[in-house]
Amino acid sequence: MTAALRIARNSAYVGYAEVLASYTWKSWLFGWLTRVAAQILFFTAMGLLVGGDDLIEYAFIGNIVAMAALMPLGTGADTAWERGLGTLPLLVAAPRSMLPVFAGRSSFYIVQGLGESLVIYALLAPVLGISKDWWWLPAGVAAVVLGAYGLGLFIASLAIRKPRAGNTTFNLVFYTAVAIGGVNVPTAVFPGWVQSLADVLPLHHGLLGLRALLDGDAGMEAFRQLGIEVVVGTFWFVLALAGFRWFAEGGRRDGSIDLVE
Amino acid sequence: MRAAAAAFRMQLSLALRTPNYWMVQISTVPQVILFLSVIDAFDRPDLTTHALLAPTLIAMWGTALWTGGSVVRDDRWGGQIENHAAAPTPYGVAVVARVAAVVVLSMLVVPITLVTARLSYGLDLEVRHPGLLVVVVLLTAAAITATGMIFSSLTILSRAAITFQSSASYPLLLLGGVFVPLELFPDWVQPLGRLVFLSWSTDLIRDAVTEASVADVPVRLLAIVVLGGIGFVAGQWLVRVIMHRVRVTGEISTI
Amino acid sequence: MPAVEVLALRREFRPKGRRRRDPIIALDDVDLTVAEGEIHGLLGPNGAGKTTLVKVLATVLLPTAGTARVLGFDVVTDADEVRRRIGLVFGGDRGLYTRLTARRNLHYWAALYDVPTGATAARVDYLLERVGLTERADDRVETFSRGMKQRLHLARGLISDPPVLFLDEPTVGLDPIASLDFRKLVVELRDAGKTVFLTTHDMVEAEAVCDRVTLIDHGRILATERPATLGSWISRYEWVEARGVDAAVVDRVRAIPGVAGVEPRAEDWIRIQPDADGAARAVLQTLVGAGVTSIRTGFPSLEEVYVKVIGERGMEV
Repeated sequence: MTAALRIARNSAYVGYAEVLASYTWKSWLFGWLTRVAAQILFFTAMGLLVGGDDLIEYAFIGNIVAMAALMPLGTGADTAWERGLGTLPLLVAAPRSMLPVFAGRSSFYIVQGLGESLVIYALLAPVLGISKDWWWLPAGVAAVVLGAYGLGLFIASLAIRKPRAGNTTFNLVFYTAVAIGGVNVPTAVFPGWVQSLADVLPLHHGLLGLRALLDGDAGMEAFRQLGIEVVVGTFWFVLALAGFRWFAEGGRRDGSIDLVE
Repeated sequence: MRAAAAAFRMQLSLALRTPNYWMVQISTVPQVILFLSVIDAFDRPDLTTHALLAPTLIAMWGTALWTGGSVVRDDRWGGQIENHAAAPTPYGVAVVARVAAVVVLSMLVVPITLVTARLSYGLDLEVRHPGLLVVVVLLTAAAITATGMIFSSLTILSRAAITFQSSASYPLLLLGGVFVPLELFPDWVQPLGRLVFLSWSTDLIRDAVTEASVADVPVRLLAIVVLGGIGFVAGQWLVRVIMHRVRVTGEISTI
Repeated sequence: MPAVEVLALRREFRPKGRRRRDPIIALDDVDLTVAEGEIHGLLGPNGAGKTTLVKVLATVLLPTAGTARVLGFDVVTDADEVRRRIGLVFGGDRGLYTRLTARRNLHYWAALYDVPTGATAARVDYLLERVGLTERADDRVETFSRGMKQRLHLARGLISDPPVLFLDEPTVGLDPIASLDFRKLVVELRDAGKTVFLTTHDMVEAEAVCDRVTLIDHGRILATERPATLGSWISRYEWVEARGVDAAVVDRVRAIPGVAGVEPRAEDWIRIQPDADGAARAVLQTLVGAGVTSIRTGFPSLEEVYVKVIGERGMEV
């Protein structure tokens, strides 16, 4: 366990270094952050056409949280990059499991998702005339981000085998979670089987809990929902463990690890 | 032109093998559900056209910008720009044909959207003015091609352009009235939006589908043609800038 | 009419940056003539300007001053005429659409080179066969080995059946067998009447394949030689290394006429550098006669030949 944590810590350095190297503050601010904010605004603006101020507020909160989950969920796409770089065979050859490596490397996304969501809320909420118990925002976003992180790692464990599928899988999962997870409309409007699907994806429970908290309803139910979100994330995290083990065995067997795509 | 047709065909093969292309197409399905669930939740079946147009254009725009936008960039990293410089056919011809191929391919989202709507909410679209719709869609596709060309060239000419490419998407979709028509935005946004051909396209497409009679058709079509045309000229000029950097200054060199 | 004629060609590059620095002179007053139907080699170390010259001749780069003509057409004012008559082959992994098949790559370029539609399929088939890729014609290029990609590059360069071909370092990265195959192809092309202009930094290759060789360094033409001359330089400066040689034997070796020097190397090896014809052989005979069995020989590098030969002739290196 301590070995795993140590690996994770060192991998975290790699992750942080990569991300910091890929952005300049200008490209982050005017490129990435602007894109995130614009996407949130796009869906928030739906309220101008339908649903009025209620939808504006609902979609605003929902999309901020959704965008925070985007990066941790996207760790699946990350592994494809790693494979392309050719470092994957080296990782497999190292004696320990790969999960701590990926977990550590992608941990920066948790920080990024959390930080960006808070910044955007702070900048846009006043403009949109939205005022909530905003101090609950970090707790809610953190729960969702952890949930997304677990699922992202699971997708990563599948994606190493087929890196091209990784990006597509991640996109499909993300947009599905956004469509049915209570981001723009409550999950309750969907049929039962869709709601069940939303139950095992990130966003749904976290948003339920967060919305209650933001509305001043800081009771047991709200925290229970946040708890479920974390449990969902843990469930995917465990599946990720199995996934990475399966990859390592399978890849070693059929030699697919050396293929640089 | 034969070369253009060959370039078009070649990019079709290439794009079909690009996972990112399929990613955008497949992700359209949940996007359609998203918009339909919103109008359904507020009981606004009259907004069906809006709800179906938005994911379609988002996907087409995204494909044009990213897959189309990488035509020149991929050529650069693949060492192809010099090969094109040595060929008798101008590079601008190959680029426009290849981006056009990507845009045409991106229109696969149209049937995907319609089928999804039918299967999920049992919705069908009845088009009042099919002829006009086809014309607008074609002109819009041409204008989107021009935009894709611009991004394609711009991203290898300027580092800032890469940043811009990421952040320009949704603002332009907003100004383009892709879901919420431009007229519902604050006054100060209107003039900005009118400079984006998308705002004219989306209004006209929605009218062509739902309105009994569509007003000012020639003027509005002209607006799309002019704005798209400006984009096309800009795109060709950028290719010339690239060739200048290859041939005269030698700044772009992949060999 | 010469196939390629270059007069006082100059190409400068302005380095970017705030400080105004002198321009980089990639080609400096280059004169060169290539006769029709010959394989002409341009030999020089990396950075000598070989690729720059090829680019100018292929109309990819404009000259800063001077003129260049291909088959009588000026590369600047008659660029389109030149493009229709030349084929361009850059080496390496890049320059092909790897996600497409070999066949599709060729079809694309056939169209860009105005090969008539009716003739394209037959031409592509013919070229694929010529370069030995028929069996892999419908496989994606990303599955090809380096050697196969190089052959596809050549097929691409031949797509419009041009009378003049420019090959830039075509055998870089190829294993010896693939290189030999490639050279055979080049000779066949010459025998079929084409003019081939190829650049290389490998003297052995230049000697083996070319009808004439031009030496270039730092953007300047040093000389144009027959391959036999190159060959004599190679053999004259072929070095010999030996291990565990007694001091007495070393002295005898030093005394052999034509031995320029003996210097120690790592791990008890010594390197004997001859600089006259036949000296290497005498050295080997002496060493073997003295019972030395750890011996190896090698060809001089281009730089070493340049320093000796060009320096000898009093030309600037």
